Amino acid sequence: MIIINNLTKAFGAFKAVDSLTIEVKRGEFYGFLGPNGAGKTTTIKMMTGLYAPSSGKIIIDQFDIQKQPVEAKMSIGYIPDQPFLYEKLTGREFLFFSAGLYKMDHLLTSQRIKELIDLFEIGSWIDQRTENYSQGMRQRIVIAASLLHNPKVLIIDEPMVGLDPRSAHIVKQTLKQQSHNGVTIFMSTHSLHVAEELCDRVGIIKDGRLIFEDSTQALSLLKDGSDGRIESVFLELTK
Amino acid sequence: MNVLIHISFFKLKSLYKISTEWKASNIIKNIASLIVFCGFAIGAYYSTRIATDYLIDTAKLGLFLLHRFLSMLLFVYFISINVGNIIVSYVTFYRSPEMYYYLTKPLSHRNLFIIKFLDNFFYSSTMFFLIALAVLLGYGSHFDMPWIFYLHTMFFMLLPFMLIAGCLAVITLLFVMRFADVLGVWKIILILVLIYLGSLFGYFSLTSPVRLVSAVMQHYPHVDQYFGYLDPAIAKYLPNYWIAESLYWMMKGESSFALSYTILLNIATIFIFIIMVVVGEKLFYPSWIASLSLHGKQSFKLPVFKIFSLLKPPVLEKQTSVLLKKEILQFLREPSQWIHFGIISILIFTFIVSVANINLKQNLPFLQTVSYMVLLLFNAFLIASIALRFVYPSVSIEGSNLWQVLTAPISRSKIYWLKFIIAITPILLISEILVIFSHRSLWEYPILIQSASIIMMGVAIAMVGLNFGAGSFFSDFREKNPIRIASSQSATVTFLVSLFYLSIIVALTFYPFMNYFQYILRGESFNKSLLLYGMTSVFALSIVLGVISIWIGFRAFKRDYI
Repeated sequence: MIIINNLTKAFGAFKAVDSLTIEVKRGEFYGFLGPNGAGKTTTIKMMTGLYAPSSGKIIIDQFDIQKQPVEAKMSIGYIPDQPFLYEKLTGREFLFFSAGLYKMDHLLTSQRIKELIDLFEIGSWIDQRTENYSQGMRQRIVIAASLLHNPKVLIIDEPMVGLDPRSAHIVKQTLKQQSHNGVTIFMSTHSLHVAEELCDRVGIIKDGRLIFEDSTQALSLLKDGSDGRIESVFLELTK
Repeated sequence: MNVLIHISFFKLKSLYKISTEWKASNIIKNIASLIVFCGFAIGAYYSTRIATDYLIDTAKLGLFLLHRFLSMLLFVYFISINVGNIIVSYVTFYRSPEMYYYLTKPLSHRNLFIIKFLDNFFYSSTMFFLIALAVLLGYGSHFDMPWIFYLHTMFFMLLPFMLIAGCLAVITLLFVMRFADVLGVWKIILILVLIYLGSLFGYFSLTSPVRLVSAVMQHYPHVDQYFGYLDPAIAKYLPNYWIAESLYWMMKGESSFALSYTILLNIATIFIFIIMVVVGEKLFYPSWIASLSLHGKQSFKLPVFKIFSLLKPPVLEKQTSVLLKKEILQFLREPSQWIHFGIISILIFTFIVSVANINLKQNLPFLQTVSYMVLLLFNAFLIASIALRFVYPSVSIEGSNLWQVLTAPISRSKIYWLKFIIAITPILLISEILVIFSHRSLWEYPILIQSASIIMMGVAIAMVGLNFGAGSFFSDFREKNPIRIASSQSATVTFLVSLFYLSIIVALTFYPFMNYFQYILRGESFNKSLLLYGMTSVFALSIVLGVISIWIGFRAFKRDYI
């Protein structure tokens, strides 16, 4: 479902992502880990069409994001690390706006928004302008917007940032459900426990290069072979 | 004081780092700035020099009248700086995210207020100051003034003058923000608009240039003597009068008189600055708190805006519809946008009402051509200003939110073109409305209306294209504030390019129009192809400028989104 082939992104002489190759199968939950500045967000920005790669290829649902961006993006739901919203729109308007960008039917959109409002418990805030929202509420709206069109692929950059425990629980349950429904998920996260809990497979990136890739079970085995803490495995790998 | 210096130092350092960042857009911006500023400064210098030479040597206007006209121009200049500062300071004081950072630091509200005031003042007035320098050089060179004159006038007269305008702007804003909650924003804005229009009307009624000229000209040729008794008493309390008086006495070689006005101006500046700091200390924080509640209020619930509701089924194609509605809602819900648009609309309305009643028919072809070109140029200038203020920032104000659109299944070219169409449609409409109303007294000459219509259409395309393209090329997604974007260095360069373009338009059309007026007023032969060539060149130039700018902007829009 997602093929990243020999992907490189250079900013001048600095290579933020260097010859990265990853393949994520349909319905798989892939955790993308790495220290700060490793190239996670750059990779995700290339996957969503915000950055153009210096070289290499990204295929989403059989479409090359560079050559057929509109078709590829139709399958993607993207959750950025910072939930920036059009501040003058209300949450509900923002969701209708997002749905319109995906050419969704108006009636279907109304129904879907109702479901998502209930799911993310945003009913009391939905008709307020987003400029009045807390970080957590913005994040919930962004996640709801990404799920509106029932995407085949979810690309997520640090989903738990700024969320309270209840919101984090809702998000985790939603992602589990999406994965269970066959949605392919590519998630970058700092939270090793979240990755361990949710992902089928993880890749660790450092200095733009993939230094580890295996199943979560294999990561757990490494953990057991160490001091039993996943942080220690991560620190050892990214040393 | 140490805190003020410390913060100012880091602000300047940050500004320097941003503007000297080694990026293609920065290099182009700096080189273009240099070329355009130099060109504009030279143009302003020579225009002022020629105008002063003409008024003093050819028209024999006399020093007194020259400086009274200067006083009137300075009054308009004062109001411009004042209104500009009110608008920019609203954003700097009440909408800047920087405030959240500073308010959590152990800074007194007074220091914070002064920092933001200086930030605002230098940001919005530097360009006025540089333009004033070029004009002053042109004026002073006529009288062979020494370098000390320029230093004195710039730093001890014009700078304090501008500071007074800036301080009064901030005092006004503080009161508006503090009491907007009680009286309502609309009422306060209406009162302010009425006060400004009233003071403009009152000033020009009292100082009546026509009355003044006829009173002075009764003494011709002894017009160089001092006619201070003709000045209305109230004018003597205004800073523009003090500058005009000081300059007049300097030109007469009476330095002690000139100095007394300089001292008066500087004392008044210090006094007003202190008042502003005291008012700021009392009102700034409460008004900032009040602004938060105003900010959250959803003031637009008028039924007329329901047609723009995103919650209603779309009439147009879905993506087009939501993007269009989003643009309109953002505009209508952003006070700094619609307030500014309201002010410009009032100006346009005033202009339309005024020119609709002016008889543009002169007896001499040259004079008729000049008055007609002034009319056309004013129309074009209005379009250039609107384009700079509303079109230039249109890409940048998307800011950090643009990810939503760029990651959606919609091509960048569609997003770009849609934004362009949204920008050009109302401006084309305004430009044609201006043609219709400004030609009311010339309706019997359809050829003029047709020509003006073509010219203004070209101007609209060129100005929107230029501002849209340049705004995209120099896009700054970090800046949320449209007013600051429209008054940035790159925006100023764009505006100066617009002025250069307008001067070419004048050059291309002056002779064909003069030929036409010679035909009407003197019955001389009219070469139709001359007018046709003029119109074609204007239109072609406009299209070329518009298309090239849009193309450059589009290339930039396809860059990585950072």
